[in-house]
Amino acid sequence: MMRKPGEGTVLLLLVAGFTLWGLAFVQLYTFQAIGCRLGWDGIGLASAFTLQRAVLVLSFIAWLAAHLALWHWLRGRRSAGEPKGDTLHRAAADLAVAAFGAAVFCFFAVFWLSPCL
Amino acid sequence: MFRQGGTFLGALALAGCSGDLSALDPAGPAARDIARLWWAMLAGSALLFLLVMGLFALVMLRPEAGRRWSPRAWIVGGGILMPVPVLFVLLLFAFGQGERHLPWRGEHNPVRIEARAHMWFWEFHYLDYPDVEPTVDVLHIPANYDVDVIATSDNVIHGFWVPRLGGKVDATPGHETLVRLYADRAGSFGGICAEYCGTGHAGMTFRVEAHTPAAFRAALGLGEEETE
Amino acid sequence: MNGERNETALALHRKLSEIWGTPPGLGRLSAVNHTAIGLRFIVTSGIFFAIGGLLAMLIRAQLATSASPFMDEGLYSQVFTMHGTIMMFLFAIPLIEGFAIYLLPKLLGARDLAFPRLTAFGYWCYLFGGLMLLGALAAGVAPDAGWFMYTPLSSSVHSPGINSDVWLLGVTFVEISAVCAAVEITVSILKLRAPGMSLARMPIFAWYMLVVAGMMLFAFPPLILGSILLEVERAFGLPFFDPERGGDPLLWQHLFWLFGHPEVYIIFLPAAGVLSTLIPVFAGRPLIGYGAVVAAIIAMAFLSFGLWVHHMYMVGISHLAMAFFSAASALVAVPTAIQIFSWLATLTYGRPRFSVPMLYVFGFFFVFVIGGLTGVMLAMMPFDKQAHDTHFVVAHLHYVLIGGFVFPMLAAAYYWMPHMTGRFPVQHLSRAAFWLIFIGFNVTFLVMHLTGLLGMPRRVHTYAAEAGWDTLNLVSSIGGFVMTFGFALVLLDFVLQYRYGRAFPRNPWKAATLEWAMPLPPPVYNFASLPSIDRRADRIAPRETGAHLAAGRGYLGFVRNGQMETLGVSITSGRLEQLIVLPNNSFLPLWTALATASFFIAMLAKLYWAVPIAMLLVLFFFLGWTRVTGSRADCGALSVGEDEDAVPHAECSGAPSWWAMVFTLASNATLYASLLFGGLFLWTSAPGWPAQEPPGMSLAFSALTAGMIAAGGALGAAAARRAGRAPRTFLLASAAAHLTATLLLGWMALNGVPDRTGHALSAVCFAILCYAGFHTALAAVFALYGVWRDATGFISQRRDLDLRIGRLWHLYTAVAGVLGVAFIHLLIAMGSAGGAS
Repeated sequence: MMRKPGEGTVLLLLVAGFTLWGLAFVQLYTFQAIGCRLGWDGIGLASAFTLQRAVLVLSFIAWLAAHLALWHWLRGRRSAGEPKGDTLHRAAADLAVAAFGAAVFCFFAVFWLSPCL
Repeated sequence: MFRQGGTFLGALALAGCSGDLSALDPAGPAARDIARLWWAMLAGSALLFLLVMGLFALVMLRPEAGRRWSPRAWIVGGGILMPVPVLFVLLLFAFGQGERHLPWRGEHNPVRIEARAHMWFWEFHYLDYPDVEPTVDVLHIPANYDVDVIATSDNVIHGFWVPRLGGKVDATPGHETLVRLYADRAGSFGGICAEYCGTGHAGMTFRVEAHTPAAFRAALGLGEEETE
Repeated sequence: MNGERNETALALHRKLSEIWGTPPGLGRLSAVNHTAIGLRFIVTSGIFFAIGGLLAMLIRAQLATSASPFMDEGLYSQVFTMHGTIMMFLFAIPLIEGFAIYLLPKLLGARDLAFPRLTAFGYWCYLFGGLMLLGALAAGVAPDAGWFMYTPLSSSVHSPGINSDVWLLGVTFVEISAVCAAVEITVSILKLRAPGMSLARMPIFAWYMLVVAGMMLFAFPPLILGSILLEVERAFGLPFFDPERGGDPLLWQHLFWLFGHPEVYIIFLPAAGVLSTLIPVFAGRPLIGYGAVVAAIIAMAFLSFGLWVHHMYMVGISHLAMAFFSAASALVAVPTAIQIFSWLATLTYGRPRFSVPMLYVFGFFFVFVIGGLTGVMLAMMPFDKQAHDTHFVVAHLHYVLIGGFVFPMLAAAYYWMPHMTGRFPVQHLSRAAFWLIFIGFNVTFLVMHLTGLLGMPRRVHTYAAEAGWDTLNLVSSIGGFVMTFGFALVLLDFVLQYRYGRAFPRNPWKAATLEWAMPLPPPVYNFASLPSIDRRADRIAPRETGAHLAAGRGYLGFVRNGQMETLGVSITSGRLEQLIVLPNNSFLPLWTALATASFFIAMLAKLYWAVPIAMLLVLFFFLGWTRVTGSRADCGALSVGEDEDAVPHAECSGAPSWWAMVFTLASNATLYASLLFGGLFLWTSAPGWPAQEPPGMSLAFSALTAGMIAAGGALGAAAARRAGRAPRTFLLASAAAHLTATLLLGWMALNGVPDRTGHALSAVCFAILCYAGFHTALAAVFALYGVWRDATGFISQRRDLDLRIGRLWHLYTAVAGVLGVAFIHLLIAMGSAGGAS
């Protein structure tokens, strides 16, 4: 009946970075589709800068911030008492960095490409 | 046996990349861009392939030679530092090209033609010329002029593809999809259905006839007057 | 001294064999042993590979020349559809499952997988589903709309025959087996390891399979949902995909490829796991970059879910949206490269030796690198617009799948064959076979890239001589037949080894993993006693460990009450946690699979009255599975040897079956999320929205229904906290609430959405209500099952496992049901004429 709290936590840490990346993916893709459906692309804010692009760019920046926050938290967690040289905790931190890189790589096009054509 | 091999090599050298349906024998800017992209990627890929196989041969035959790099250098260098910049540059290039090929509004309006896919033939409606009868399996376009093909279907999904003029697009029931064609010169180009659409799929071919402006009007049975 | 030890070992061997063995004759059908079932999976998938290969030969014969009269277009469409379907669903995935089932317990130091009867059930589902498809092929009514089954071609209008139903039902049947395997593999890796084997000490193959099983849990549900919806559209006219009634053919493509692309990595990763296991052995040193590889495969698993739209660049999605997928498709090359360079580093820091498995590793490098590079090319949208649906893609995908799967699996076959047979390879034919396959493969598919760029589309049964594709196609066909000879030679090689190979009882490759720490071929119980692991599990000494374990000097080196016992550990640390008592041989998996088959056959034969009967039959048999689980008395900690004690799993909070329910629900939630997203997708994309006759739902009635669902869930969940203190009142109240909710949901489905065959909005609402109703009905079954178990004495404060498993279902049902009812109102508000648009 006894239950160790946090059994398998390291697995959650391992997938944390890319889970965030996946959520960013879903949110950006969904908002792109909904924005085109609702005509946000036709609402200009400043010259060619439309409401559609504003929403996507702001979301993108917010997701990058979330990735950095996660990485910071994982690093703090590691220095605060996780066993030293632990392969999996190091892999989790590496994965958080990789997920940040993947987010930049996959979503930087929100600044540039045609959102609804 | 040898003769067959010889024939093969000869055919390869002679036929090369030309052909009525060859994406490597472009006759328009979009197809030409993509063909260039292909040759560039082929060259880069060949280099990377030789690199990896060379390293494999090295580590199998003279493993000690590979130990001048630390394990970390192998993994980070080969796994991250080598591929990421290559991929990023390629991606930027491809995004730019894709953006250029989008059917933007240019200086003048493109000719608009609706390609309706049936089982198993194509029917082309000339939207700018409502009086012109639709043509079947022959698409007339003006050469040196932007043409927007709007593909659609009222049955199953088909694929509209004229390899020498540019990329393909699906004709999906309930949707209208757009592809921009541009022929550099007058001529006749093969087209096929690219998406599997049932037993008549293989036979669902068509021709694109690109004409000079006068010939285009004549092909559609229009008079000589200016319409610009 | 030594003789005495051997005598003990022999006596222990006899006793364990008696308990763990499979009875002879018809009794074989009751086998649940993972070694036996794993081999059955492997052999069956091999037979399907041969059939799929013969179909490929028919295709190459047809395409060898232009205007070939060999097959007509109808037959050809069945042949290419079945080639793809068999290779993906009946060969690749089951072969992976077979290898995992056979190997994992041996690698992890366990005696079996967590749910032996589920292993057997999964095998029967696979076999019966596969036989359905083969039967249709023999009868000439095989699926013929392509292995991707795009609607509307596969809809009842354009495919009125039984062909498409065979695909939808047969493949779904096989996928049940895949999801079962995924749950079982996940739980077994997490819980059934040798004590001391922390996650960070697992052999790398276990990491690969853990990631793959996790991916299967999330990748298969979208396709299962899509298949259900399409079958419902075909059978009952609910228009999910029909563009004339508010559906969208693109929804099918999204659901299919949301499965279909992760599927490629589900196939590749186990093969990469094989490479990460073999290469260190032949390099004579442990894998370099263990942590980097673990990180790489996790990254790959996620990225692989973000690139499905690269199959759909042609459908008219905006450039920006496609760019997300294009970038992810390119990026997935990075974790692949990390693994490749880890292997190269391992080789360079070791002393590599060439052997037949390494020959196939060479084949992998050569072929897969080309496939990966063409994959990056195809990820680039402009290029794909030319290459898509041409033979270039055919060439690419075979480079990836044969290079990234078949070559490594052949390496695995040569590597582990001595383990399975206890005999060493004869190796006269092995090298010739490899070169035939390797050369034949490259001749077939290298030129095919060019065929595609010269404009030859896929899935054509004929082409004109003027197209200029004759020579290239003839070369491909010749190469294809050479490759086939190579595979035939491999088969002969295996037969020779099995018959004439010299007996070799132990560790022929000087490997350092646990599966070699047993006599070969392996005994049915794997280890006479279980090891304790104090280092990374690819650095053990099999000879010494094997002798130690065979003598019964590890954990559980004895027999207790004729029980099948193995150990469970805590997930991360690998600390000894529980004693797991496994169920013995049983015909129930076979009967349950037969009942499941009767469900699918009733659907196929359109005997819809029989469908509910079949479902009840399945439920009945599944309830029968519980007759031998659990115990009527508290037992407390028992000795497990090595001076340690452990509680039986029924008294442990982290029992394997509890975790199994967690993962099953995660998979189930993916299916549900796909359904909800499907509704949103139709709103954004489908023609014919907003709906003219939207469903009319009274808010008050919906609130009542949602309240009832929540009450049922809360009561059922609360009952688990009252185990041993008369939980029955709570359970009965919960069952009553759930049954009422089921009736309310049924009433809403039948009366609230009258237009369900008229518009997709109503059809989606109907589907959500059915999903919720199915869950509340099953929740009532869980509650009543709890009452039964309590009444028969299986529940106490310590033995509350049944109730806690039920609790998970109750909570999920409550959340999913309430969410569903709310979502329906949102969708109706957005998707009705006059609503927001």
